[in-house]
Amino acid sequence: MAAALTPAIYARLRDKATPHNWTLDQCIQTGVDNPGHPFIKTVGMVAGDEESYEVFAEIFDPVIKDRHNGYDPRTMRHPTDLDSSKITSGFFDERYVLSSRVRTGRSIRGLSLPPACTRSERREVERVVVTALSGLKGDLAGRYYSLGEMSQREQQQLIDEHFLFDKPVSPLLTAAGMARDWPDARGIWHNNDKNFLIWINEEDHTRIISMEKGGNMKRVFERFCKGLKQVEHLIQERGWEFMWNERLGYILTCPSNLGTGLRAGVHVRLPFLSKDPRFGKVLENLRLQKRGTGGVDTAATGDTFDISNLDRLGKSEVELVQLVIDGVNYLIECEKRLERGQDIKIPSPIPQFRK
Amino acid sequence: MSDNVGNICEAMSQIRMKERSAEEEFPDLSQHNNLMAKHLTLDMYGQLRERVTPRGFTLNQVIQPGVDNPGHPFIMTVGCVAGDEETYDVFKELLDPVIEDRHGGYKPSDKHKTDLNPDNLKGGDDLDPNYVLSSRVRTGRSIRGFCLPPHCSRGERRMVEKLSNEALDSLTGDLKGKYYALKNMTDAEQQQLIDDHFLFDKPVSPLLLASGMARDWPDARGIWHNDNKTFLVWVNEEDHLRVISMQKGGNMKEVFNRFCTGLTKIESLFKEKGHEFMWNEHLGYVLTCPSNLGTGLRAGVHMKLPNMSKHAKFEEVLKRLRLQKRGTGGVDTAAVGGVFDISNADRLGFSEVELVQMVVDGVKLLTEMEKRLEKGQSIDDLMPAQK
Repeated sequence: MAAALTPAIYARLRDKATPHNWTLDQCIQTGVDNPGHPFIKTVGMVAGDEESYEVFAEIFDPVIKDRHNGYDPRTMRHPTDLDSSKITSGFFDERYVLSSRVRTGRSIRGLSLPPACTRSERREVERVVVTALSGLKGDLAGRYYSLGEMSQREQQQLIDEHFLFDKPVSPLLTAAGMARDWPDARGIWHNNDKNFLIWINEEDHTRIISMEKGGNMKRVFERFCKGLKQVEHLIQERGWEFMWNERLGYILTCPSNLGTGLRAGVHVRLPFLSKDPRFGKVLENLRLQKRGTGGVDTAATGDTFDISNLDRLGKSEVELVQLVIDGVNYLIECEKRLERGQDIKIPSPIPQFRK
Repeated sequence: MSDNVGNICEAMSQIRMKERSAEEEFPDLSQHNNLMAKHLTLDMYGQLRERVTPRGFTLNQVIQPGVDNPGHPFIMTVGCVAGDEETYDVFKELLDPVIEDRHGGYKPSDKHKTDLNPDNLKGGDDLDPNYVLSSRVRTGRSIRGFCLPPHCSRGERRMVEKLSNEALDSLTGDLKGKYYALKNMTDAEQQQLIDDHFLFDKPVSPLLLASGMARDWPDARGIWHNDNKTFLVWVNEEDHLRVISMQKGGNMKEVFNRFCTGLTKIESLFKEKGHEFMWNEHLGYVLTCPSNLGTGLRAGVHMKLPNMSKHAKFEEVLKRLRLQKRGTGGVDTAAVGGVFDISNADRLGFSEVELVQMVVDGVKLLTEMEKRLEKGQSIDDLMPAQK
């Protein structure tokens, strides 16, 4: 945000407001209050509603372009592809990969986003989604746990298992107003196997997560696609739909999650590779990102990293998951070579967008 | 005003678009223990949510810190804030009962008296330095016409800083000093000032964060102090200005003298430039938190009470003396090593002189009691009546 916002843009946009009365100052507050993140270059602005991306396009478009490798919302179209049968070699060496996970977000059209929503809108999101989820069956059947009704112990257990979102202490979250009224209308839904989960009203209306221990990313993605399609269908039956358009794909609170909103990743042990000075460059060229295993605001502990796709917009879900699979396999190859005392090669950079 | 009303009405109807019934919007206060939660009813919420101040501050904004912070472990919090001077009027149905509860039964029809004449204070120059480590008096002031920290824009906040600097630059003699903008300080300088008890904390308090007072930190925040560091002004923390007089030892009279002299001088400097402080005869000085209305004055000492603090009647004594205890790190801390921050509990309905007198007299009594307990003697005959 700070890189793209000029006094001239500010002057032109500061008197505007979306139909929900969301203003420029509100969009940028989180970026003003949080000058920089130690591990990840933050976006520094949020949308309060679907219309924010249009009303404040003059600042959102350059930020989107910068964050999404030159993707130009004015001229380009975003592809959606949730056909998991297209995935190849999606099974990792489990001596290295401890767990596999795919997440995305979805917003309910017509309701304001977490920075701006009123208590009643937030409760409406909870009602709409939980009602729809109660229609899931078979291996997807599950139940809802409202945050307000969980005990501290239940909550801590779910956080430790990497299922539940953090208590809102992240300054990015609090500065954007997303922690208001906590824990009202927040909760987690999961199936009985705890490998398909939905977060309600954290940073987005919903976050949909498929995960399991081990390296079977293909199965994780299959469940992800099946579940996502069923949830969408159940919501549509009741007259609701997800925020989506062909310019920006799925609309979420943070511009960094536009498009697919998809982060596919693994927890992987890379004791040799992580100490190699070329580690960063290898990741960069593979279009992968490293995080600590506690989530976006954490540092890595030991040799285990969260490795996931950097990109969200301009490539489809299938493309991104395949990119992660191919990339992680390459990292494991490098790790094995270094174990054996062999040298590794930095891969050539992956091209940005389909022509 | 009329142009603004038009804009406000339009804004309100837009807000209406997304708000549903009062029931659907009413916060869940079942886990809450603060004054806002105690006094806000569904009917009141329904009635007040239709309103907005001329500067655009809404009921939801007034109550947000109380919704987000169910209860404070050491102090019963108010749970609401004002975004501008008019908040206290526009939302009086909620704020009057909160004020009455927090300020010992102060009624909407009551008048508040101001007395900043230090000659009216009796004694106070001889608090026992074996027990009293330091003495301090603080208050706050708001500049009329500007929104308060929960609601002010960056432009307003910078203007408050600018005006304050101009006024403070004109102080002379032992009050002469300089301004240190927070954004120009190094981390080390900042930490030193915090450790010396001069500077406010970085905004981590959930009360501060929930009310929007930490926005744009550290822009237009800073501290001004005189060369001796005995007279300090905080700019744009929880209030526009916090004015502080402090020194080591037990000479509260000298602290209060300097306080009154400095404050009066600052007020006249502001008036010369055509600005005044927010004040009215019902609420006295108007500040962000309803708990600081009236005098906005907290006069206190850091004192050693290792024995007294373990006594079963400690709380009762403080209550009768109309005093409050805190940790020595400020409002959000616990006491460490038997050293307490002891100050007046009241702000409104008593004058400045009256409040400082209570502290002086109260501290003297606590010292007596501590000495008795040290010698293993009883303090029963010293128990005070309720003030």
